Amino acid sequence: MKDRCFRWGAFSLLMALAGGCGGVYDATVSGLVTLDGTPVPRGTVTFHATSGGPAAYAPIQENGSYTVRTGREGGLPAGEYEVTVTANEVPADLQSKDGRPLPPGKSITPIWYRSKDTSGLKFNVERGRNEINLELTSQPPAGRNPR
Amino acid sequence: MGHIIINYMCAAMALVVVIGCGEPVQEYGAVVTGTVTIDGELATSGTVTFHPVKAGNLAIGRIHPDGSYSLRTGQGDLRSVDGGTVAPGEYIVTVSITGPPEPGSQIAEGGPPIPGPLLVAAKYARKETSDLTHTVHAGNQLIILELAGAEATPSEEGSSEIAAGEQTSAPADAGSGTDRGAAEAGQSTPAETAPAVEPAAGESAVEQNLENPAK
Repeated sequence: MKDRCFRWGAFSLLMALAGGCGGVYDATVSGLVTLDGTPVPRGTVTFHATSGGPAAYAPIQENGSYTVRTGREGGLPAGEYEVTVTANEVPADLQSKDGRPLPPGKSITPIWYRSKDTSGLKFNVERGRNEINLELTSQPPAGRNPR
Repeated sequence: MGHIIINYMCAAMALVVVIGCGEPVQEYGAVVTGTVTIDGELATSGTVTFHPVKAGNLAIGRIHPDGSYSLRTGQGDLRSVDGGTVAPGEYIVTVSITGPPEPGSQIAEGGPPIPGPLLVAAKYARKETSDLTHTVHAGNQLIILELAGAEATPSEEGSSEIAAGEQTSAPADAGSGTDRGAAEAGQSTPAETAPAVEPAAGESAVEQNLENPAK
């Protein structure tokens, strides 16, 4: 009897771990963001699922690295993603004179990386760990007119 | 007889573990978490507030440095950051995000400093002007708030081209009409403008039930 209860317990614990209280996503993505080979020191990477659903985001760290999160959880569902990168400099003047909203700082990365229609960054995220380095260039890739 | 009872108890305990993560009690049966972005960049501070359209409690969430938030109403597991629960229903959402306060700007000595300038469009600050509405369903859900940032002024060349590209799809916005005109004027130099930003970029939001994200 005791043994049976133990087996139930072990089984359910396994299910809980597999199904996940919290660990709801089956893939993780991390990597490095560079512009012409130099790490981008700030900004945001966004993973837009081509199948719809909420986007997953990652802040870019000072060394250019990023790790994707969905809401409060680490990771994202496996699948196909279009990726955008938005990075602005911190505005030199942090105080606006009249309390009006502050405009964003100058863009660090080329603006075509801001839209999934023009970024040209498309990746298949597989279950488990994925390392995706985003190698941006200040010149649009050959044969592609950003306009 | 006793064996059967024990057996059932084991099964029940197992079920609790499997279903787990406490299905919340009915009245506050929703858990809301999400992400806040400003013109595509993650917010790093601030507060989101969900105002119930009908009677009910405000739900408030602090924006964490990674841009995420979780709503709290004082219900649910208050020891856990993400343990707060919310009553399902319709909400108007306001967001307050300000820059760092000017050093030494407090009105009285020892008092709180005056908050820095707004980092998002002013309309999100009040529920009368905010155009963000969301329906909260029972269960776990993710609500992403994609906000428009502050509009660029015409004198600021560097940022106006970006702002113009990003805001072309945003609906007209009472209270900042002059700024928008300026931003759109800046957009007439096509080479500098980001092409066709997706319609969602402006100020929409995405919701999805998290029940089964992998399937």
